Amino acid sequence: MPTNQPSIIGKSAPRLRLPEALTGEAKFVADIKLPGMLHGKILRSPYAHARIAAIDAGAAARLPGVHAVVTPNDAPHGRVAPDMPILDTEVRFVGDEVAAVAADDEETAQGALGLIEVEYQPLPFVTDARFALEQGAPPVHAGGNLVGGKPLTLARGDVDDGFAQADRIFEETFTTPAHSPASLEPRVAIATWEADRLTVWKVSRGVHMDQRALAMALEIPSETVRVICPHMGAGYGGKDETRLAVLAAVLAQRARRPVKIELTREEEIVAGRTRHATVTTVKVGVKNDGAITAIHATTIMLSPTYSTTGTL
Amino acid sequence: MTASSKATITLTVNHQAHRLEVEHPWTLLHVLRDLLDLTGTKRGCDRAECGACTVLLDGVPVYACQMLALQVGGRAVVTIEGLGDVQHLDPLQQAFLDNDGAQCGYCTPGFVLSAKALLDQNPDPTELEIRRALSGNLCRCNAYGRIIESVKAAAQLLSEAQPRP
Ligand code: FES
Ligand code: FES
Repeated sequence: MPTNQPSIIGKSAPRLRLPEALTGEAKFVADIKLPGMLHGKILRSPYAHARIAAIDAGAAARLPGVHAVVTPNDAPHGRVAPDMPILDTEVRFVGDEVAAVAADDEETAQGALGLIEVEYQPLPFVTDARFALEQGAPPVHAGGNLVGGKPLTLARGDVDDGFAQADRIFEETFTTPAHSPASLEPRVAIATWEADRLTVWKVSRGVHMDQRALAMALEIPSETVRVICPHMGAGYGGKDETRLAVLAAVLAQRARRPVKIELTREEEIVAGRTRHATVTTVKVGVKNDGAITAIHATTIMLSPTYSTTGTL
Repeated sequence: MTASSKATITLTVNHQAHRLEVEHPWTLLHVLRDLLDLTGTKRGCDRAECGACTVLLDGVPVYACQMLALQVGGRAVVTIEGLGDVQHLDPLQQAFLDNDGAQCGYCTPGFVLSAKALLDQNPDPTELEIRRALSGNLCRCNAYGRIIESVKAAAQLLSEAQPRP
């Protein structure tokens, strides 16, 4: 019996942060309050695709209790992701961010959203990935609807030969719907500036990825950006985005006060990130004894409107 | 915005009496989290769908997001902060810790309070009774199996601590 048996194998590791979750002492992002903190709200597109011909947030900015407003006309020019400006004059899904407001409390911020006048020119849109790839389909982004411009192909062996050897060939098409990961904790971000240094508390599975996106969007060195994810009410992929934090940071910079933006459950469902809907056609060649000779599969994945953290 | 009407209520929270000026539309959830800083009570949906905001109102589990502050004047609320703290876990919390009864922990305060209401009424519940008592709480991490084991273990711990006559 070796004496230098590793001491961790076969042992349960203690859940170091579970006690504080059990007592309510754990601070999730929504539980954090900073002195002078304002509350932000986001105006969202009612159209699946539209150009914003005009936007006037003057009345919202003048509402007592409102401290900062950001619209596509005055947003900084950096990008949250290669295909995502901070705010755009083109909106691409129902719920896409149009403008944001920070005020003393959520009710005032919500009231201010109602004072923002937006003139939309609706554009043609497509919601099914199969139609999105047809000739003449309305482009979601300039350059076409196929992310990356060409299909991702993985091949091994001689597929044609495999089908030639098959006794029987089966072909079926399967679909899966988009779905919301629906973590119990809605998305939330807090931003605060100290001189030119930014601190963000956000729900995050990758604080360094968020740090890079914030630095890129705000065009500041990444070493001036700190991102903290304290306890998180799970993510399942739906929290891998940074635009919410960027909007909080822009509002905080303008108001010179910390800003928190908490999404409602409705916003999570309408404007949250979803798992891709898929359409998969599989063709399988088999011998009469059941041995598989070839598989050919094509999957069309309906990617989110913005690639944010990557193409998949 | 038009000024909302205000009212003064008294509210006992975790055995401490408070006199609070509240606006008519405010929910108990808002009062607990934003006025009293009791952020252990969570907001998952604000619409009676998830149970993250569960608190005990005169011993009965309720969704704090669905009670107006005006409705609870004069009544007694227990939130998760009214149980143990990390140095002194309540036996129920200890059972959740020992049985890994949580993943992310966001639903956890609500589950613990629903379980407390059950065990206060029924110290020796069947599994079906546990499942029914927790049916108003959602866990998106799907820790249900461990949660149910935790409640069973808590019933055991409590019966050992206070043997019934
Ligand atoms: S927050 Fe009250 S039930 Fe979800
Ligand atoms: S542990 Fe994450 S929602 Fe229940």
